Amino acid sequence: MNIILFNSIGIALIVFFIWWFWLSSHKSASSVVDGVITIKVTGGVYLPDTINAKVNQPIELCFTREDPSPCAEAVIFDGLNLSQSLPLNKTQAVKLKVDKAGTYEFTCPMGMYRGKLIITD
Amino acid sequence: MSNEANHIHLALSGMSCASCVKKIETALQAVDGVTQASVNFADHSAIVTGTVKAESLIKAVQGVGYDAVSATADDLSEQEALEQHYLRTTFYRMLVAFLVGIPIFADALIYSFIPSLTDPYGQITWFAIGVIVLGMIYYSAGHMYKSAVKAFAARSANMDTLITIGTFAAWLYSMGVVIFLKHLPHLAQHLYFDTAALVLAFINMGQFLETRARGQTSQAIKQLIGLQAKTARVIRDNKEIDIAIEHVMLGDLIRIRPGDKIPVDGALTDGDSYVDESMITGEPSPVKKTIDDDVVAGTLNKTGTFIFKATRVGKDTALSHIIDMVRQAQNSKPSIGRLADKISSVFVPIVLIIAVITAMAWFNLGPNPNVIYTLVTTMTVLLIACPCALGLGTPLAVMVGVGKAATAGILIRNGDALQTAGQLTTVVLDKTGTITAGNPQLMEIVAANNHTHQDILQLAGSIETGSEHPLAQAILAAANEVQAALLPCSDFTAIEGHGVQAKINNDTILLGNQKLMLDNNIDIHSVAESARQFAAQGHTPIYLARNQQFIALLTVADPIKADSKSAIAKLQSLGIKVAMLTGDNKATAAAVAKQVGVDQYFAELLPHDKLSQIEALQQQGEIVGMVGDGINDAPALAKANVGFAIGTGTDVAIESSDVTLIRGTLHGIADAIAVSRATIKNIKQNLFGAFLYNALGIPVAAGVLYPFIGVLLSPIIASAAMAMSSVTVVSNANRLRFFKLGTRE
Repeated sequence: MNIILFNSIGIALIVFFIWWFWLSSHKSASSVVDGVITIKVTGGVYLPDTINAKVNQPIELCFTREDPSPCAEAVIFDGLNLSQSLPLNKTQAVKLKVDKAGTYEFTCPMGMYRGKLIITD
Repeated sequence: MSNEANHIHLALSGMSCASCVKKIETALQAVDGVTQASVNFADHSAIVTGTVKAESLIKAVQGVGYDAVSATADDLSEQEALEQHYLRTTFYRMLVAFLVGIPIFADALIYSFIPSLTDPYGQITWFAIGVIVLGMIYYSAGHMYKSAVKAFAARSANMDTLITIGTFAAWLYSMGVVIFLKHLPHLAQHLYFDTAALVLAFINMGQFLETRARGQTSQAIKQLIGLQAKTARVIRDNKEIDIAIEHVMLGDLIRIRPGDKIPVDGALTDGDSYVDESMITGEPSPVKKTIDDDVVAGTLNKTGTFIFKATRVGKDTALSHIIDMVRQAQNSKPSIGRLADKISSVFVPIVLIIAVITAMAWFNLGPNPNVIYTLVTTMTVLLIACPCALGLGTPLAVMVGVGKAATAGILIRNGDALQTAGQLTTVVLDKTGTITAGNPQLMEIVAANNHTHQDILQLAGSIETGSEHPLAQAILAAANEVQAALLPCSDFTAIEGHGVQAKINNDTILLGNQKLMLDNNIDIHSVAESARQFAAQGHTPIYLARNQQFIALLTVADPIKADSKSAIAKLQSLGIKVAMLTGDNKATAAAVAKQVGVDQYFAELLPHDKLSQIEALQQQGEIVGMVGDGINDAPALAKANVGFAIGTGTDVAIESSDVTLIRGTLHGIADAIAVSRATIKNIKQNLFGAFLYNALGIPVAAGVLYPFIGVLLSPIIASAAMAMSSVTVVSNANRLRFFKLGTRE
């Protein structure tokens, strides 16, 4: 009885992890309407972590870093060859204009904080 | 200070349109003590003057629906204070965890002084201990638990997720044992309060050591930021006043006294001095500055006193550009680090799944008490896994490597430039201005008949007046030196690629190369042998003729920089082939090539030929670095795998190249390559170490060795190993700081 219960929970957990981390859809998305988005850097995540914008639309991402750990000290847009140090408890703007549609990831230097910039035509 | 009017800078957020400007300005001006407030929509900032605290201003901004934070650009002391605060907090978190963990651990292992669970009052004692441990978890790991929950909600998982599950499982199980003691089999009655505490102690210790070591990795940028002066002594309305550097405006006249730091970029208008520019250019000896000379922010005035006019202020100064570029570069990643990135993005979820599989395996197949084995192995898997070591290896090494180079006046644009610079097989050098000083000088005069040098220079100088050509400059300089009285000339024509022609006192004067003479049927065979000899020494021969009569042979040469030869030899000792490109004639090129010892040279090239020469080398499979002044060679620099712009002083075009050598010496190239190689090697060590650690650590923690040799790891050991693995990576990256650069032999 115990064994069946335990194994069922185990299998359910594995399925849940796969679904949760890879398959489920995301809620924390934000669209750039007026060109300015404020992103909080806190507790291991960017909030919001998915930014939607249009090709050639000037975007300004204002990062506010609340996490004092040095992991969060910079944001890197790898595909755009851009990076910015984030001072603690201050707003730091990153200005962008992307001329090609696609998904561009932005991460902390270690890649634990992860966000996506989705650019559409 | 508080009663004095001062300026407060605010960074605003939430502004969407220009109409917000007015709203915020009005709100700021309404605050007591504000004398002036101006909002800049472009960079979302506000400058407020008055006797007022930043907090009340922020409140006012928030009151009208926006947000603001106090911002002072690059205020190092403030960031440093925050860093110190974080370090201290982490230290206390570690201390508290140890203070709680060690007694419980000692009770179990060394000397039992706490009543055991089955003793009278045992259960209640341990319940109390459980509550104390929970308090400790709240203090020492509350931030990690919070981060884990937030990350989980955002469909992501990090280091904190693993620590949270690992330690909370230990606490929860132990608390369960305490409460439901009577319902559990005897063998399962085991407590892990000490494990939870000691694991958190080690993890905080790791973070403490790691943060401290990381502070050192950004030393180079801190050094650069520290070069900025805080105030400037500005002359306004005939009065000298000290003002904060942010308020210096273009065109301000600034007084510099002995020992002052130059606050902004500008040009001297009065006085003279020697300025130490070594912090920016790496040039060790102070540079003489007189009227009209440029001075650069961050450099140090030695003995004289002078006044200069600000030409670039704020974010536009060369120093600001350098700081920006180094920051950008330090945060970028070479492609070698991308694989690790991919792995670390899925690392934690995969470890979670491995942990579940481990738990199931031990529960189903493990010996009795299988609950205990299941708990211990699962915790150990979660705690030994270290995504940090994997993620830290690349960025830290890049940070230190790029910073190290910057302190020697070598600016590396990004991670890819860093990686490729270390792989170069051929370095192509432009001759003029790169191998040579770039300012040609008159070397020899061979006169026909009885013409004196004075006469020759008078004629040659007169005809070259107003010419921009570097060779003309050399002749003019020589004419000025002998104080030749220049004559007016008329009907001036420049014959492209040949020379010039003009009339002076009704005489037709020709000055140019051999071809110009032959085209005009001027007999120059009397100096043919001398011309050949001089060309072989690297001089460029120029002929002067009057009314079809040959008068003199002048030779001009661009002196080779004193250290070009040794720098080229150093490149070759790194196993790199060195080639030279020049638009100059073959004989001159051959002579220079021989003097400096390059492996091959290509002469008489037009600008676009330089580009195709690079392409040709690339087709032969070479990875080519091109070194030029960054302005005339821009296409070739862009085509090369790594473009090096070399300059004297900060005028060099930073934008156009992958690597910028602020100081004019070619030794910078060998240094850049050596730093790159060392950095990439360091990254490889870090990544290899981190991969190996996880690849061995996780299976051992899961207990794969148990069936063979009965080895299981304790969760405490696992957490200590985890903490140490990231500290090891940080320390290894830090080793790069001690890398020796050979710029100054």
